[in-house]
Amino acid sequence: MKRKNQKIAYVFITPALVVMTVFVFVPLVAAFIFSFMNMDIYMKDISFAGFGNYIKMFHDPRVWNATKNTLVFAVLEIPLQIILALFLTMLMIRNTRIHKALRASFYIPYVCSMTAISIIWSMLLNPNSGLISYLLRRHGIIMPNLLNSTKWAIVVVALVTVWKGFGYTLTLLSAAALDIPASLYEAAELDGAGNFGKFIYVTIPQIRSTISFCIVTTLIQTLQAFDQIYVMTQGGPQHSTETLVTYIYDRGFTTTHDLGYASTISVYLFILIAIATMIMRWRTQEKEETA
Amino acid sequence: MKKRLVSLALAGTMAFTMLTGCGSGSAGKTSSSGGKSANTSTSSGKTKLTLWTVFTGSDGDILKDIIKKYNETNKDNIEVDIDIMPNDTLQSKLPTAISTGTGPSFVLMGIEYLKQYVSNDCLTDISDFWDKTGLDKSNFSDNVVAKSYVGDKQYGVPMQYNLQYLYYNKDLFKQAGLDENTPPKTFDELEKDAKAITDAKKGIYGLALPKDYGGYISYIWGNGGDVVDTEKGKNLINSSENEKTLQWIQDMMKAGVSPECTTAEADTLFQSGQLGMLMNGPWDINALNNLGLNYGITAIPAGTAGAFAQEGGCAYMLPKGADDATKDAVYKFMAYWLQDSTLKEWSMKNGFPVWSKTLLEDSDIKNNEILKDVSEASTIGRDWHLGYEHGAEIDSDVMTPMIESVLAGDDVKTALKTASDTLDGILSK
Repeated sequence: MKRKNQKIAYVFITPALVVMTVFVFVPLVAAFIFSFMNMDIYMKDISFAGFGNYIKMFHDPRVWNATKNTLVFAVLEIPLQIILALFLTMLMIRNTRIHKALRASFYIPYVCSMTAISIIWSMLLNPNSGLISYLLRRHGIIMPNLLNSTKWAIVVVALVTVWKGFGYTLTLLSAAALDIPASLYEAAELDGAGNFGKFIYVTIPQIRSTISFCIVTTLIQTLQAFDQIYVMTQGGPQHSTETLVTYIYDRGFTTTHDLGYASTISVYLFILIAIATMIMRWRTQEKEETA
Repeated sequence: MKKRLVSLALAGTMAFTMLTGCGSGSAGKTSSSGGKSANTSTSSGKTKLTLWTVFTGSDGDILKDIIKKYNETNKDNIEVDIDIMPNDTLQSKLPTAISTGTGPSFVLMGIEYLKQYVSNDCLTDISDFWDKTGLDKSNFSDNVVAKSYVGDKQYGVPMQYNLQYLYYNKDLFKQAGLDENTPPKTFDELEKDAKAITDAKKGIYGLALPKDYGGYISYIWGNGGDVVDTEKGKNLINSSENEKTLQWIQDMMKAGVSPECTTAEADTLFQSGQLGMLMNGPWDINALNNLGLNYGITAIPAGTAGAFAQEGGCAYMLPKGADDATKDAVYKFMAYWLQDSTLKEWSMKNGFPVWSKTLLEDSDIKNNEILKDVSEASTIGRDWHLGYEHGAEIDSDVMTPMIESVLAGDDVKTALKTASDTLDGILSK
């Protein structure tokens, strides 16, 4: 009977396994192998490069600039998204119709395409023909071109990413918060806790594992950010919004067509994400155990 | 037990759906692929060709119309299926598609990519094109035809030829008290007119200096500068001429003649009558004509060393491995394109310069004001790293950051030094 169940289980996981193998495992191994090769997109004159691509990467200032931008983007985006979602969770912890409708409306940007959202925000922020610029101009304010600023472009892109993603985080956090037994809140009330106190001392500790899940998934998403940057700034101005993924795309598919080198940077990004995820998991598990 | 059977059936259906989904996708690809499987006889016995191209603007609609007409009227039972995509997408998928035998039957793209694809053994030699089609090669401008050759072998058939031009809004010229029929002929006049037209309070600007425009080389050449000697691989960017030119561009930006914009935004501003002058290729003409804008088109103005405009164009090319049947069918379509009637429709609707000698004698062409202006402005073409192996890298890593830096108001000498160092790195590869 047990063996029969196992067979059925295998049938169920086979489609997912096939997809994962074709689109995740094989490309992962292939990228690792390619990173040691001299190969371009034309697949001509492929040769073994040893650590040549890795040495080149460590001497490439654009890689370090992209690493810095990737980290800055993550540092801006993750706390903003989590804090905003937590704040709204505090306000929407009840399950009334209005709260449900609000949560659903905040979720809408998440189901929209990042490309479409980026195009819309680029149009809105356009200092010459955008709606925001038009409204400001009516009040005598000339809007600067934020997406053309080496200081502000990355902030704007991060804010647009937060706008798209916070509804998802809010949904997860609210779902977790709504599962907290009412008795805990009643006990806190008896101890004299107000709404804010209940949120800090009951809600947050109870949904800690969901928060850590949100932090880890958002971290992975931000380290892999591409669509919004490609559409809104193309990595500019002066490479100030160029992240590792946009640089990988540039080297592999746009400018030099150097697949070997692009794969090397991909392996580097993979290692960065793996380290960051492990640290985050380790830190949150440690906190959960001590709690 | 019953539940398990239902689960099993559902899982089986899921897996089957996925597999058949993949199957139909790959089947679709095979039928539209290049190489030896490029031709697919449909049930009606037609030879189906796939064409990948990059005409995402309003010119793409005209191209589609011409192809539709060809599909309906040709007697060779050929059907061309056009797939339009942004150039970035084409350049990222075409090499892989060719090397895996899943490319299109033929491709239409910028001539600047021709040498790159030839050197990577991705294109078919079509040197027998003129003999096989019986077309008179000498009827077409030599400089245009020559751009489809690498050495003595032909790898493309020209589809169009173009330079960069100066568009000017006649109404804004008039409003600024300038003669609407006298566009600037020199950089000094360009600056003077741009400043006269600019009225920032009304959101009107004299000249667009977009941060991502690829044609700043015209300004550099105009004042006697250059960026790279492609023959010797020599870095020429850090010169006093270039410093003077870039400083002049920065001063105009600081004077507020241009908004901070991209090329696409500059196009929109010009179309909405908020921009006095714009440098661009002829692909804006169709949209401007449809809008009914009162505009003119003229040659890029001259600097101290003369007037120069970068050349460009598109050509039809056949991926490596095309079989004889595909080749024959594509030749027939390309021959159709080179008929005067097709070239005339393309030029009349789009404003692209005419490069067929017999068509130049056509009365409609001679009497078309825009085409006349475009043809007159098309005599100052110069090759800007067309087919040079580091061309894309120079644009992306040297020119764009340098121009962004200059337009942002950074020190010009530092911007030039940084660009020069980057260029050294590229040329030393």
